[in-house]
Amino acid sequence: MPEVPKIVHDRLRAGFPGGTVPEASHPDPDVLTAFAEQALSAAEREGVLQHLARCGDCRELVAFSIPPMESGAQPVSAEESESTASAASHTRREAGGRRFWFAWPGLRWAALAAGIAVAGGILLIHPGKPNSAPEARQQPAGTVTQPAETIVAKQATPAPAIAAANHAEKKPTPAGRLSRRDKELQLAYSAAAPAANAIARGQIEPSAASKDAAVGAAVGAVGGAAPTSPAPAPQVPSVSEVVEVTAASGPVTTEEARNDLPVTARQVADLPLNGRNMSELTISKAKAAKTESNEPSALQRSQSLDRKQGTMETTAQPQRAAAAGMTTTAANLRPNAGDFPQPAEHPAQWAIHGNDLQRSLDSGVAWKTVLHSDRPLLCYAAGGNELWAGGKGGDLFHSANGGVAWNQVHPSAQDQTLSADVTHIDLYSPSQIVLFTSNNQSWSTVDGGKTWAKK
Amino acid sequence: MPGSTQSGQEEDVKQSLYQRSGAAVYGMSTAEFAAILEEIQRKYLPGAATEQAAEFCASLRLEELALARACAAGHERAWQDFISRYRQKLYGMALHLTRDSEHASELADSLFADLYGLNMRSDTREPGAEAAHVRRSKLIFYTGRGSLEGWLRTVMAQEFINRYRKQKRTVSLEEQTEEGVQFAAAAPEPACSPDRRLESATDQALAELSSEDRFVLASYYLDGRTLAEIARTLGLHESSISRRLDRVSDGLRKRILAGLRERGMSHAQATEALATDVRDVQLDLRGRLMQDSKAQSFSIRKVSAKDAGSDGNHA
Repeated sequence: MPEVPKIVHDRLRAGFPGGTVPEASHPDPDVLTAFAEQALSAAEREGVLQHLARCGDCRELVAFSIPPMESGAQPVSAEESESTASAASHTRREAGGRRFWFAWPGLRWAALAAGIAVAGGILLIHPGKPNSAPEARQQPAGTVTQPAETIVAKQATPAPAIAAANHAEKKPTPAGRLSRRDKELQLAYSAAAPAANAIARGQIEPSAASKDAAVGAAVGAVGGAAPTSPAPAPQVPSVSEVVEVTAASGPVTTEEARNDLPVTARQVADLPLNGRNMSELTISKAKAAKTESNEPSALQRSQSLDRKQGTMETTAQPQRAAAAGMTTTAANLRPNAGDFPQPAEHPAQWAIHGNDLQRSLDSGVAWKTVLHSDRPLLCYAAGGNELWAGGKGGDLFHSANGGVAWNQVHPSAQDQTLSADVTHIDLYSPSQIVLFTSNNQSWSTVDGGKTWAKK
Repeated sequence: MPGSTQSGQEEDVKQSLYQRSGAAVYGMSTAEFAAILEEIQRKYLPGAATEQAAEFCASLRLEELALARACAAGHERAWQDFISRYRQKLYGMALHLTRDSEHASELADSLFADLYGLNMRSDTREPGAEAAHVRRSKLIFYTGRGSLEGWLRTVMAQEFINRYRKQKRTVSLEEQTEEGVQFAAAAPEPACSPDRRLESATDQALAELSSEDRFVLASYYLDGRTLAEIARTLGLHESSISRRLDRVSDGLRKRILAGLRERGMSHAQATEALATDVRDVQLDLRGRLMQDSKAQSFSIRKVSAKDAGSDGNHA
């Protein structure tokens, strides 16, 4: 704030021209109340302001009589009835024309939570991006936003999410804090889904907000987990954009609850986006990283990205560049088909609905079932014309022509057949595929699915 | 009052105001309520034309006014309503002010006593009709200009400030006795300003501001209010207060400089005069006077005096 010369303080304090105020001319409490409630006529208000400008006592009174800024600032020990009362009083005041008193706290929380979530989402997208290399051409930029959220939930695998969540109340944790407590994944995830929904609906209450923030930060941390060096948080787009991004992911998270274990995978699968591939890749990476150290895998990935994918500059800091790139993309795009800039061509998008895998060729407007399974499908991976879909009870389907013709694949290795739920699929190339199952097996093939190895 | 002569139309207005107030619930007659309105109108809009007066009355918080006045008159149902609506809130407000549950109940209780009128007559616990004229409830002063809740808040703040001031006075007196009165008494008296021109140029520049701008300046620089607090008081957004402070303080400085030049200073002189803190000059003078006797203790004193003087700078 600017400083004013000290003489100004002196003269203001002295009540400047005209000296101190006669005792009798103090506005009565009624008028001061009406003044603070903006209920005075212009002339009366001017009179009060003139008085207030030179009367410190009345300024003090007005300042003291202004209600607490937000309901959260209410005295802690006030009983619940009090908080109800204050809520009611806020409402009344709202009617009195001071809407912002009440509106701001909520907005502030929402903005914080949304901002964090987006920052997290962007971080996530960024590590995910490399994985989508094979089909980078296909992804309409707009869809990027959705996978971002998904990844979040899904990637709950590395424990850092939790670590970050613990810090989240204070402030957005910089991504990249790593600690490994795999069990807590689920926890982080379960927190993430409702939060995302809350954000989507815009109904963030102060109490819920910390949770949202936690989730958002968790997301950020997860995203940062892949690149070991703490990725600097990319600049977050302005809040309104942010909200759009998160809102888009809302419906996604609601859907998945049906499945027991493979919630995360399923959730990804449900996304009507072809960006999903990258999120799955990300996940598998994360999982792989669990066993070894995170760093090598992350590095490899980012390198491979750079090599494979021409979209990102191969700078010394590809991660950062990618993150920045994604930021703008995410900000500019809206997930709803129709109101965001369409890519020149309409690449296929895929989504799982129950037992069906559906395809959209018009960026999500119309969907057509291309694969029906007897059991629920849980995940899929797409790259070029290569499509793999996995489901309950070891169901695995493959299409080599963009989903027109399908074969069921029954992987077996060492006298064992794949029978557990396939929770996600990594498609590195048409011949190199890795599956993950609900019982923590991973199956891999390097010959397009003819022979498999189990881990 | 000539403005309140009875015509049929005026009766209609009165009737509709009465209806809106719901005063009937508290056994208040149309005439009684009209008398209250007239009294209020006389207070704030003396001699106003009939239409203007009607408009003014319609802008009042009629329902809350009826409640408050019925309470003041000792109507039992009104008290019940009042208690159920505001009791918790009053304790909440008190807690907000005092940040201490013990003092909060003390404050709230004392306000309740004022509202009920106990502080006037201690023997009128029954809110009966005959007691009403004996005790005098503070609610009789509520005129419905702002919300009743806001009024209660203000009245409570007033009570709180009074108590707080009393306490502060006690404390500072003690401190003064401990420290020696001569220092405590040296507080703000910019009387012996070295150059009156600076003062008058500043006054002129301040007078040219709008009263709202002066209010913002005083709240921010003298009272140390936050932007958010000022914004809420004025019903504006925080950022507009911030912008305004920038603009006003910038303009003020320029205006004072110009004023000083008009009063015969060179540009350099004016800049220097503005940069000099009058109080620093005074302190230096004082310091020179004091130095012989208590050089060391004074230097400490000087620091604290400066701090106290610049309290208003901190937001």
